Amino acid sequence: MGDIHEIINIELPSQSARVQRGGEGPPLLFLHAEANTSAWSNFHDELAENFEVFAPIHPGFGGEETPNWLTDVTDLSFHYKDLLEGLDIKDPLVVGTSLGAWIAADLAIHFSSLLKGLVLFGPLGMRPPEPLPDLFIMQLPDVLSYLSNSLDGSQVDPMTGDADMATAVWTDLATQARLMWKRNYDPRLSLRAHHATCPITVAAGEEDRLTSLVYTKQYAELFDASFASVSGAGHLVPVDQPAAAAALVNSFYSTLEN
Amino acid sequence: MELYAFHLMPYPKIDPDVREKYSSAWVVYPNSEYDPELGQRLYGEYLDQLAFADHIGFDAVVVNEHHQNAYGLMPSPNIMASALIDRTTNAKIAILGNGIALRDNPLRVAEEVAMLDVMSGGRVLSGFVRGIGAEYHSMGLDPTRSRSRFFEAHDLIVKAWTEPGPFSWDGENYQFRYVNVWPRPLQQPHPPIFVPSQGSSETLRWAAEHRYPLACTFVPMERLKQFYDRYRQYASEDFGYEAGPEQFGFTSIVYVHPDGEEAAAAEIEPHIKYFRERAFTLPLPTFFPPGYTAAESYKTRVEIARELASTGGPTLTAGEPLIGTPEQVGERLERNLAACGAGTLMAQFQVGDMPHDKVMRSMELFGSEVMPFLSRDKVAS
Repeated sequence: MGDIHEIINIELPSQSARVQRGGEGPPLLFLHAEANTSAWSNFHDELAENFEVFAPIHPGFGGEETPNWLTDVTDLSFHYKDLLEGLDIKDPLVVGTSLGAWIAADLAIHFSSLLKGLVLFGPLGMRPPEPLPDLFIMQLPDVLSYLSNSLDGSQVDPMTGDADMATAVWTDLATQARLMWKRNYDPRLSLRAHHATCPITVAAGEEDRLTSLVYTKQYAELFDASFASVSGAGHLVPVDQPAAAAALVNSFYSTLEN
Repeated sequence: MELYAFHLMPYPKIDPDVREKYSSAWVVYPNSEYDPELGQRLYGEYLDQLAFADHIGFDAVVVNEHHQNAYGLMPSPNIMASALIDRTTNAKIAILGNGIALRDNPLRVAEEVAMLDVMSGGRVLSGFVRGIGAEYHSMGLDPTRSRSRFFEAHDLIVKAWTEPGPFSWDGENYQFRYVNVWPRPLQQPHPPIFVPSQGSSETLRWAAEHRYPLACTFVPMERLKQFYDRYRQYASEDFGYEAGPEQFGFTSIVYVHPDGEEAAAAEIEPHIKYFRERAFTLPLPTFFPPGYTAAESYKTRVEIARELASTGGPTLTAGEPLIGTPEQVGERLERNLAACGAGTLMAQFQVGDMPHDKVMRSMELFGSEVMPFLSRDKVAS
């Protein structure tokens, strides 16, 4: 875990939000992935070298119970619009991973004019041609192996590993279940993608076991976005290859007009 | 003392390698493994066993709901309850229970149970359950809504049974412009409601508040005592009444054998092994999917899962094993009930792949050599 400059707590109409903030530079909103990956990490440190990074914990993640008001990803888009306004974050670059990338895409569908651009690592949310692996019925070590090629699954084995770490992954999955149990995509996404008018780039890990490269390329096409693949990474690119992921963010940002 | 005959109606031909090949006897265990012709015979035998329990004087016969599994073949307990109406005379028909949170329309349960109550002349006991985690996989239902749906479905069904319709219902999970259930139940104000518990404080307090008897399955004696004590405490401290033994029931396997404990144990052992090692093949993420309980309860479940892994599976006996001669079984049965202050034993005679003739021999002995000597009029104190 790297150096967090501060933790901000802010009351929003939906609920209070916990935001990790660090670094200096243009604002960057980082929307984290599932499976207890919300804490400040090497990737955040890399981003903080060039940006002022705002890394909120999603409602119902990081050990929090699934909130009653939360029904779908669009609820989170409005939550994060409120967060941008509440913290007076203007024109941020939004970076998201997996579920976080889905939230970012949906945020852009609704509020593109507020955003500088999007970087989506292994985004979810588009209807897959074949059903995705069912994370909710898997043993927790298998969940991690589908998400990442660097996380150590044995630690979260409830039978032999660390019960607290297992519970942390499990509680994150609970809120993900609220959002993705019935459908792990939003059929409206393909009808609305054209409303996301800010510049977008999409990246996939070459060793992704959750979503195929074909899926992620189609996602990029749907959002009229550029596409890159990252070698040595599974689904959670910033977890597996933080330096390469941060370099991709920097180079995308350099292409944007100021 | 009340005696209920409890049945799971298991499938007795689960692949011996189910654990290695399929990892589960639930949800993903392929239904090509089910032989409908064998299934027809099984339903006949299992219903005969419950009818026989009525014949020898049991107070109730018990059916339950599980989906997409080889552990218990009653996805619709109300269909089994209906089949039991004409096969039984005096026994109550205990549905323990309908998975009301699993229904997108809980009024269907209100209707079916009311039908059963009218058809049976008021012999229905109506249990309500959330359904175990596996059911949420099978029904495609988000388990994070399970508790909220359970409590709302309960409120809706009870209101549909007790208040004149039509009325409208605008809840968090269910909305109906017209609630007007025909028929109404025969028992007034409604069939007695039972609930199971795995010990969460919320459920225990809620059950105590409504004075609903707890029907606990496969809970070891030490935990039963804790659950019942907490229920009694809620009843007296929060709701101003003393909970009596009639509010507590639990399951235990029963196997009676004329030649004594060793012979009985030797005969039932392979069927217990079958139950634990095949029928109960239920991986933790299937049993407790994300969001099914609060994080703290999940940690408790992890501890229990670790215990079960070290002891070879769930306990089928609460207290002293009811496996032995008629005299042994009778004495222990009374002691077990007294030990936790319960009034109802839910006796499970058929276990795992135990064949019909074995079940019937044990039940016959229980009827002729155990039941006449039990203090049926007294309840445990």
